[in-house]
Amino acid sequence: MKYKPLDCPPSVNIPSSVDVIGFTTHHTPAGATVHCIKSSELDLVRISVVFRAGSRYQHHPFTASATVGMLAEGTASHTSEELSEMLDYYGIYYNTSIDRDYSIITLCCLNKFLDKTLDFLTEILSEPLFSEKELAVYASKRKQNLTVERTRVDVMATELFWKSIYGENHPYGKSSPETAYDTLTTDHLKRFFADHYNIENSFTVVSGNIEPGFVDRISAAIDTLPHGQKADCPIDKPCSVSYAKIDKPDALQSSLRMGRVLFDANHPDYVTMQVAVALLGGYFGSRLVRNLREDKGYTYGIVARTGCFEESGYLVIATQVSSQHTRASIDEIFSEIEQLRTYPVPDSELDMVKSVMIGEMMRVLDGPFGICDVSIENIQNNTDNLRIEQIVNTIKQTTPDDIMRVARQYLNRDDITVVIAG
Amino acid sequence: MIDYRRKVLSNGLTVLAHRDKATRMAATNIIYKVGSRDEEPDRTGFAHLFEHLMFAGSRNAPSFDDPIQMAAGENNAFTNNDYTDFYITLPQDNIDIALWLEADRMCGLNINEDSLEVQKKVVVEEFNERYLNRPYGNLWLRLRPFVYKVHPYGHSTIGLSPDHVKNATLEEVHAFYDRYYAPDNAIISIAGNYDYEQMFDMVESRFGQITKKSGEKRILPQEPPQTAPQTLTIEADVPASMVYVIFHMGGRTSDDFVVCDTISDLLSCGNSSRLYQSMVKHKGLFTSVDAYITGDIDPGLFIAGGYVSPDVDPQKARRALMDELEKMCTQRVDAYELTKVQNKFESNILFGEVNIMDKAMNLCFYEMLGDISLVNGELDRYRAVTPDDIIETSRRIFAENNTSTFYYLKK
Repeated sequence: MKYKPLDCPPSVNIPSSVDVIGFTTHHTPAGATVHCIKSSELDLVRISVVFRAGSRYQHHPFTASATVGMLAEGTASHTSEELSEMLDYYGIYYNTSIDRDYSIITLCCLNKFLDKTLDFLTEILSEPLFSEKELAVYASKRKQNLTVERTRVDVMATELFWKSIYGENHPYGKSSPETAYDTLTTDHLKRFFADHYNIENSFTVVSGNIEPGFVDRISAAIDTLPHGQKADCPIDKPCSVSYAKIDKPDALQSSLRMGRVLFDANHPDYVTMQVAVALLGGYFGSRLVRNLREDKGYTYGIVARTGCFEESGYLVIATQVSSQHTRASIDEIFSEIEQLRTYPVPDSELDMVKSVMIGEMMRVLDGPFGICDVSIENIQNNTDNLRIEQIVNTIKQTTPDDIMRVARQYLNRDDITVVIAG
Repeated sequence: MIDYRRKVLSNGLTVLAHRDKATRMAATNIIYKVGSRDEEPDRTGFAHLFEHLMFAGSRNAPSFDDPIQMAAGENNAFTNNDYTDFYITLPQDNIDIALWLEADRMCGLNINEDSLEVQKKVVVEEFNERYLNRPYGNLWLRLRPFVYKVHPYGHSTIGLSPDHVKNATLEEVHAFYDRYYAPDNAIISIAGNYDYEQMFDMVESRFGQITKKSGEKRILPQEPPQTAPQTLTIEADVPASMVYVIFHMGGRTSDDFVVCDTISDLLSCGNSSRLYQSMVKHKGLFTSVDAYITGDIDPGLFIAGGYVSPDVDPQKARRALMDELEKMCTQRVDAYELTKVQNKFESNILFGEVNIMDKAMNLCFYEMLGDISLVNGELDRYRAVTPDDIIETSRRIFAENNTSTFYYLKK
């Protein structure tokens, strides 16, 4: 064996493109939309049904999360226990998630158990009960979880951050006391389900080893949903404050959030801003990690990222620092932002960030389930998977001047809210 | 089912390769057979601190992270009681970057006072963030020494206290590196769309030149059998009380492991499982409840418990929990229920082998256990568990003298 000397580093191949797998779109007999991504490595199928039924549409706190969370807690045909039994016996993975805009039901099964999985899906979509008894169990469990969560400084800081950049009554800023679970009723859930769980207000994404006939069988399950209206309600303008703090005198560390409201994913500067924020704090070699962790040892971790809601977007910088370094950490963060606004980023650093971002996309897209998540996001943003190529191109074409321009335009110190818990 | 080939280099490095034809990504995973159980009693947390130092750069790579990031890769590491694991994924054309970096830090790590000082601070902040400044964060810090009186599993990977980390010296770091970071104390796996021969050649061309160290093996003190039930109660400013019952059980490769894992799944895998249905749904004694095994290499723990509902007496919650365990000792599990947890195990195996990193990690892990064939053999072991195995094992594990109770109470 001829060894390669270790003082001779390999050359790096920077990937020039990302493989994009598109989805094919089917319309069911009743008019529902089912998007399919086929890959045949494993005998698994994943089905995600997405509803515009996030918390922004609710009138009483926790209605949206409780509605999707209780779909499998009893139907007209089976008790909650029987439904759990069905899932567990066939090894079906079932999960629900909720954010401000959407709720998602996800099922994943071995191909051989697809029919059982669809029986389950049909039932929870067409005849959920929302019984008093199950709601009582659900509410007491959730209430206690939330009480526990809210003793953590990072959870406190996150909630305070949304409230501070959007306003405490804004659908994207609001958080509610745990006690609101006490007044949540089955009527809230039944009404919310009737208003938002329908064909017109949903879409479905299927991925995995989709065999012939699967799409028809999945369509039949989706078509048990009733017809209805696409959810639509105008959203208020954000109303932000520049500073907020929760005191926790005995805390060893403070949790910090800094950031601002930006724009949704279709804004022309969205991707350029993502690159700028990645430079600042989006990867392990980023400026904030080097400064606050690797140089000063103030924190175990710090991250800056952009994100979006359906009708808005934001920048957030998040970290937990030793309490005696809270002030110094905020100053360092502002100073790194100022650097980004004042000096052009060196080409080598920009190239590294581009590689990191493209590598991250390749990783996410490597495998049927990652592609499914990306597709859901693209559909939510009214686009398709060709969007991925556009993003890669925009990233590759970003120049140091572009970075300085967006940093100057969107990262004014006066526009950045600072939130501290601890 | 993971297809693989295995080879041991002349310097003692074990190499595992997996070909995945469906991907453009590649992965490497390295296990060093050293964990927090190998630490000196006054230097707990050292293995984990050392994991941080492995990113400080090496003789020919002043930065470990920069080349990976340039190569569109991602890397990280973790330390547990038994071993330390380093992993990298990147586009397949860049696989040699990963191999070069790992080989260089295996033999030429750059250890200096500055990086040691900074990483000590980072680890102390990690200690604060994850263990001290978080409700219930110190649960394991208290639980471990309560149940392990002799075995080094008595301290957590993060260490007994931040002071142990603060006191680490550069000499100790050198000695640790010399003793444990060597090809003959390591396992590497590589996964991607390459020929098997090509993969072995790529690994050997970088790692074959590293000399073996043959450090002495440490003999760990084993925990003697527990002889009486014991209880620990602590109070803290937390929003809800917790109660756990804890039992010693066999090690990772023993028959106990598979049977106890099955028992824990019967009790708490999925919402149809016994504890969730009885403790949360029907009796309302707990708001969440779990049963699981620690899965350590040396004899480990079976743990059951969770958050007690408000206004419920924790002792009453404990009694109800023990009644469920008692049923395991006396009533035969029926075939349906056993098939259910075995089916669930089959799905979990498949869900856990979706991407190449999972597969690369699994290969190293089972090689470390000493029986690589188990990487594809676990399902058969689980399917072979019988109702009699469950009764016999439950009686032995849940015996009164093997019981520890931990009350973590709301003040």
